[in-house]
Amino acid sequence: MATKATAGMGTLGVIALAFGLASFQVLGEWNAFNVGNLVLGAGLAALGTVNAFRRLARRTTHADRGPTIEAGLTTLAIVWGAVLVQLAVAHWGPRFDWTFEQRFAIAPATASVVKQLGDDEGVRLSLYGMQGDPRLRATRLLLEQIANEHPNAYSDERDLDLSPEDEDRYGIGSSNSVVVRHGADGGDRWRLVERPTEGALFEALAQLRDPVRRVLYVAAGTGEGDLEQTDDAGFSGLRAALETEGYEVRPYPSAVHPDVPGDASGLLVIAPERRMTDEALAGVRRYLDERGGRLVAFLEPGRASGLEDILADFGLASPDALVVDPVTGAIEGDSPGTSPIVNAYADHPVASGLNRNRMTFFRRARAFLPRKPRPDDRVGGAVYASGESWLYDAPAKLRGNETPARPADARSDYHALVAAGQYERGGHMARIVAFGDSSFASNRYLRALFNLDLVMNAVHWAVEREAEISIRPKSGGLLQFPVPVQTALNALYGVGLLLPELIVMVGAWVWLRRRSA
Amino acid sequence: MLALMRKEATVLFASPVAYFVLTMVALITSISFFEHLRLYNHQLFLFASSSMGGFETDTIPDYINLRDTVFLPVMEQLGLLILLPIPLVTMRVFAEERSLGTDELLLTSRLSAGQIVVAKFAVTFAFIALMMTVSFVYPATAVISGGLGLQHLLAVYLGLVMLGIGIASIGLVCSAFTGSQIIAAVSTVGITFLLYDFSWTFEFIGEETAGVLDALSLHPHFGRFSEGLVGAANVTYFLCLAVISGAVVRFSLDLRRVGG
Repeated sequence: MATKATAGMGTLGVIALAFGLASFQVLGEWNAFNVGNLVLGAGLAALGTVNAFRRLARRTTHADRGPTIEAGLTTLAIVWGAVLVQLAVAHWGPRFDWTFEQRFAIAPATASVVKQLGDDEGVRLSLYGMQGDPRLRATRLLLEQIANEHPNAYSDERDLDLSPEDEDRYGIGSSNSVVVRHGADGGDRWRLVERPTEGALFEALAQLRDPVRRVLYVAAGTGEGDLEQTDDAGFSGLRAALETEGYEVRPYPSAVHPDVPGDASGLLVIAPERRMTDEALAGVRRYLDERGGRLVAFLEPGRASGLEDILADFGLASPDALVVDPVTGAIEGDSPGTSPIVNAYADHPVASGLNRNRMTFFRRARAFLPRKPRPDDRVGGAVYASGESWLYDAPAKLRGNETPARPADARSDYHALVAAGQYERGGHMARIVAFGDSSFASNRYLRALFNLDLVMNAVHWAVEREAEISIRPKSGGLLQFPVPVQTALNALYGVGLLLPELIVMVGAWVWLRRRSA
Repeated sequence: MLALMRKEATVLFASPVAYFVLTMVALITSISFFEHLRLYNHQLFLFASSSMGGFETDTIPDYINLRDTVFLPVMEQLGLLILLPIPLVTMRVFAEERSLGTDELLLTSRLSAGQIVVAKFAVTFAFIALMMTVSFVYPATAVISGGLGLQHLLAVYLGLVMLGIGIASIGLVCSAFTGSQIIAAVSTVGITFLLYDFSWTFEFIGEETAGVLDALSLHPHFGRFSEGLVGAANVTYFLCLAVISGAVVRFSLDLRRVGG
């Protein structure tokens, strides 16, 4: 009787609690019904528990109490052990990204910048959103993943409707915006990211780092690539990437001021269309020979800017020939092989992090034939076309998308599309990185495959910022491939309906057999 | 202990309930997955049609993708769907023994309470794994025949297996404390429903309390898997729930042994 009363009280208590909570969940406010149910439910549950203990005490003898208490303590120990394990794993446990596009695998560059900010006062990523915004879930996870990279990095979420002061202060215009703040208690230095992809967050985080910037001069005046030009052929994307990663970009009008300015950390020359003046070439040569200059040069097949002679003197000779790599097919309307997609990299810091699966894309490139001008110099290729590639030596004669004819004596080889050298000159250490293509870094192709990583790592190596060499976040493609309905329908009839049918048949057979037995 | 496991499995598969549950879950998964896939394709082709610019011009909104349009809603549906059949499986595990009086035979056998718990939990969890495997076959076939990899779907199903283990653990505790299978099943549904998601309370309670409730509830841990993110903490949450439930059931068996 007592058992039934105890069980009954407990059950009624659970039912009353369930109704009380459900009513509160639906209405979102307290009223007599839900409060009454909760009070009644809690009371009945408590009475049931007390009764159960009293019943147990009555039915157990003194000799039984020892094992009962021991069993109870063991249970408590197991429960607490499990809770502690869960807390520990929640704090330190790893997470694995099983998405198709590796959506939550943080790029090394993001991890590196979070570590730098974490070591230096910390960083906080605050997500501002409005209830019901479906994008918040994915952004929240991304922020958590980034914050996991350092104990001094934090992420939190705030309701935009309840944060009007923050909305005004940071200029937040829409839900799913992230404010990245650097420094103690959130700090005064901040950036607003309104479309929070990992790439955008990386750029915001990078901009919050040490404000000391290196000055990079960019040659101008003889038809070089324009860092202000924002169309596909321009290089404004390169400029933005350089500024994000701590460079101040200034023009170097080589024809007017042949000497490279004294505050230059490096010099960038992007494929001049015309020959540079002799004075300018002499200025570049003096910069390298006498001051340990840092040069990143982009060449183009069919162009003679005079820079090729300087590079040749530094062991980076580049014959005016187009690399044709038959392994790569026709891309973007070019004739087959003239726009190589490459994945052969030397063991050089410029190509650090790149491998067989991390390809780079060149569009009409020339090759380098690296050799040491002096025994102590260190010169070599960094990126190579495939071993099937050969050189077409009259690129200027090619019209439009004409396919270059392979001469009978053309030799297949691994041709270096990017080469780098380090030289001791005049008591200083000079560094040069030369690319056989410039459209590689243009707005159209800079973010294709791993081009941005290659060009930025080349600049960092040239100016001796090796710590910045990394692999940057990629804009993960969403899964927007169609799955053919007919295929899915065939699978539904073939497997999706057949399997349940078979299970029902087995069940019926077992049941009938059991009945007849 | 192996003999007890064999006996549990035999009793389970001698009952039509097991086949009914397997069929229901597999059938509903297949139909629901196909329907979501069909809708996804429809939306994709609508936005990608030539009048709107085609696939190349970013005309397809971000929210139309396999994860948000197919995996996530199917997983949410299945998460709620298995809330009903699992208690049907767990309700009899201890309650039936108690109502038939066979629990006394079990408790006076050479098996310890811990071994009994391990055997019964293991068979129940194996059945949950079988149930999810059966329901996995069609989505996996459709995804593979569509030329996509399985990894994200595996994460989704790992989450469902974990949720199933969590619900079954609660169900086994309920079954251990009553002799009525109906009470065991109803209380399992009620408790799981209450524990499922506390996010609705967050606007009424403090941030810290919300954090604790969030860490306790089933849905936040289960939801991570649908994103394709497999966290050790989310896996251990369900495993710890199983361990805690096992400890409580073991305690109940010890009490039965002592108090009758």
